[in-house]
Amino acid sequence: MKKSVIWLGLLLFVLGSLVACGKDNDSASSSSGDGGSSSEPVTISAFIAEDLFKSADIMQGFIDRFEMDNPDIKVKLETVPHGEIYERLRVMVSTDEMPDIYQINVGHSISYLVEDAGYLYDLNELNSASNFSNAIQEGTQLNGKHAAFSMGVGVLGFHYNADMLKEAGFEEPPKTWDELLDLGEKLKADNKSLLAYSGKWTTGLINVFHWTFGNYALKNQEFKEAYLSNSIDWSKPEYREILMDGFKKFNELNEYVYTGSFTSEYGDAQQAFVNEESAMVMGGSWDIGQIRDLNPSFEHSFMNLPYDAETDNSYIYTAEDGLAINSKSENLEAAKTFLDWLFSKEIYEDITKTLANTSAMEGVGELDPVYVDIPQWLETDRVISFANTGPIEEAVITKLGETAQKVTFDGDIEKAADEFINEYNSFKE
Amino acid sequence: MKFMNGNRKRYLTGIFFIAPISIIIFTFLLLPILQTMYYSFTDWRGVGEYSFIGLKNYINIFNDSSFKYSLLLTIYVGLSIAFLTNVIGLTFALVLDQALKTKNILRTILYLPNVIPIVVAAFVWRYILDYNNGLANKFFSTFSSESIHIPWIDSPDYVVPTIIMISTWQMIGPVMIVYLAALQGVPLDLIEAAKIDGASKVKRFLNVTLPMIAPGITVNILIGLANGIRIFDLPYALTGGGPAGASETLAIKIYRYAFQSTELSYGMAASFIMTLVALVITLLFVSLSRRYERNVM
Repeated sequence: MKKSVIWLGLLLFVLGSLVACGKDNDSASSSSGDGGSSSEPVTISAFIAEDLFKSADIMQGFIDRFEMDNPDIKVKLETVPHGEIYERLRVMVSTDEMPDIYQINVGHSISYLVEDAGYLYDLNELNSASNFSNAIQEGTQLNGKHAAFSMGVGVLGFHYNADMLKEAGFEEPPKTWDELLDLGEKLKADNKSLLAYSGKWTTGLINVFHWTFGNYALKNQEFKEAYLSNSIDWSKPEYREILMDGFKKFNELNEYVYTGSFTSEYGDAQQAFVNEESAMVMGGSWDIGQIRDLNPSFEHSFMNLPYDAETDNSYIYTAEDGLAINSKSENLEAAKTFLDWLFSKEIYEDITKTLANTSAMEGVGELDPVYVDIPQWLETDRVISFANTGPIEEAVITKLGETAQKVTFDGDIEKAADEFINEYNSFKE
Repeated sequence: MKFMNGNRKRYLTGIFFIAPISIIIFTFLLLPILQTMYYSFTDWRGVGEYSFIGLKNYINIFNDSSFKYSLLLTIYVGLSIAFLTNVIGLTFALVLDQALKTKNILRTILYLPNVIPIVVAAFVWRYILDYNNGLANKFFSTFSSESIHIPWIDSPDYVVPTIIMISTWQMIGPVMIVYLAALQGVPLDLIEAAKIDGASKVKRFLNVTLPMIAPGITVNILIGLANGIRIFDLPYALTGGGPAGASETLAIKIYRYAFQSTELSYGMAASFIMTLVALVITLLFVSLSRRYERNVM
């Protein structure tokens, strides 16, 4: 009898645990509503990648300053590794456990999911929205909402080692594709690599294709619209030709790529660049902080990829990842107060200085000398503002990288193009 | 009547014992599997409305040549790992079953890789196998007048054997322990009798030892297959599925569909296929192992 009672108790415990698992976590939530007692501080949750502020400690430093200025609001920070941020957000959207403040990139497909699920707050309601430059305000729009406060301006390109180029006989960085390959050949003869890709992860490997699609989008508005609406009809010969050109050029470049680029981490590529094993590293204007961390005295410059002749070549510009507010947050006012404070001109200037970011606000922060050419680039009419995955699903972009690499190993461009198009179409449907 | 009451009591006690674990298994295993199957016939993205699309996800998956590659790769990796861990694990177990002075140290050394988290091990191996500055290539270069650069993880031809090698290295320990336990259960008098009958070492192993450790073989094949078929963390941390998708196992593929895209139902269809594959292969090998056990016992 005693045993039966024990087992009954155990069963009830298990059932109780299961019921507790399924309950809404209102009581377990770290957040307390705005309508709570005025004597108790409101706690808001912030969820970001650990490298958004270079390190979690730096972000925590800004939070500490905010909490000193606003003792009635506490910010609970959760950080995850860079590669996990969007996967975790996806799960949070699915399970209805969104934090009050979270990181997104407006060009990433997760932003559309967040918007569809009703978690995207229009930041135009905040005073600090007007601090951002017009280009950034336009570049961070989603369905008419100012979706995120961007950490900075991102321009894709190559950090290059001018001394290595000089040793290979190039006083200036290459201006054409042929010059670039010629430089690669000369460096290869000296057992050095032309470039290292920015790591094995999705967007690192397909960076060349930003110019493939970007340059064509400059010439063809219909293609641009199809690209941005994720509805490219690859059966059109001219579109397929563009794709094939991308595969061909990616393959040509791979002759001179630092071996290991297809499987290495971003940091490894930057390390190879700083160690002068590679004359260039592909990336963008957000990399300067990490490169300087590896070697503060390392001299280098920044160039655009000479994919086409200068007059046809685009500059790939994007608003960097930023912070968004959960429109369903119970602590909406507190979240707004925090972002308004963080993106006030005074605090944002400190952020750009600390992170060495290129400022997204006019008249705030200083441009790093490495990026001295960028303002001129952005004044041209050849700026393309889609980068990273754009509206294309990450799995499809990954497939583009995979198939492009396959060409390098088996040389079959047609097969690679068919495989990518098949994947693109299956997700388009 | 008394008999009926006793029987009923025993029956209820049995139900009572299995109820907690049954509830847990149903809630956390069977229910998600059923839900996965259900959603795999829809276009659900993880949030919002969805509609039934029949077999469309499955058709798209089987039209994707890279999915077929991942499926075959996963089966190949699973079988290779199961085979190698068993052969090498049994060999080590046979050696360590002897009266060696160093056997405890050797057991510890061989088991050690299994206590290292696989992601940590993957990062360490990545530096060892680095094409440019890796320890492995530097080691082999010492035996040659020229610098040797083997693309261990940077070539589609090398990356799969490399992953099988690392995975085998990691899993030998537990397999060896199971075999050691099984070997210690082999009656010495049977071995002695075979010796007296003039059986050679090989014949003693094949006709006495091997049949006696047959249940251990079944367990180890199951462990090897399960670990091999679901392999994710090692190739993902080591290569991200590259180069050129050469190490993209089924689990990585599913992860990409489900968590790197908004096509959750597509990923669910792929994971359901993986479950079926794992089930079929496992049942096949377990039935073969059982038949062997029955034949030799």
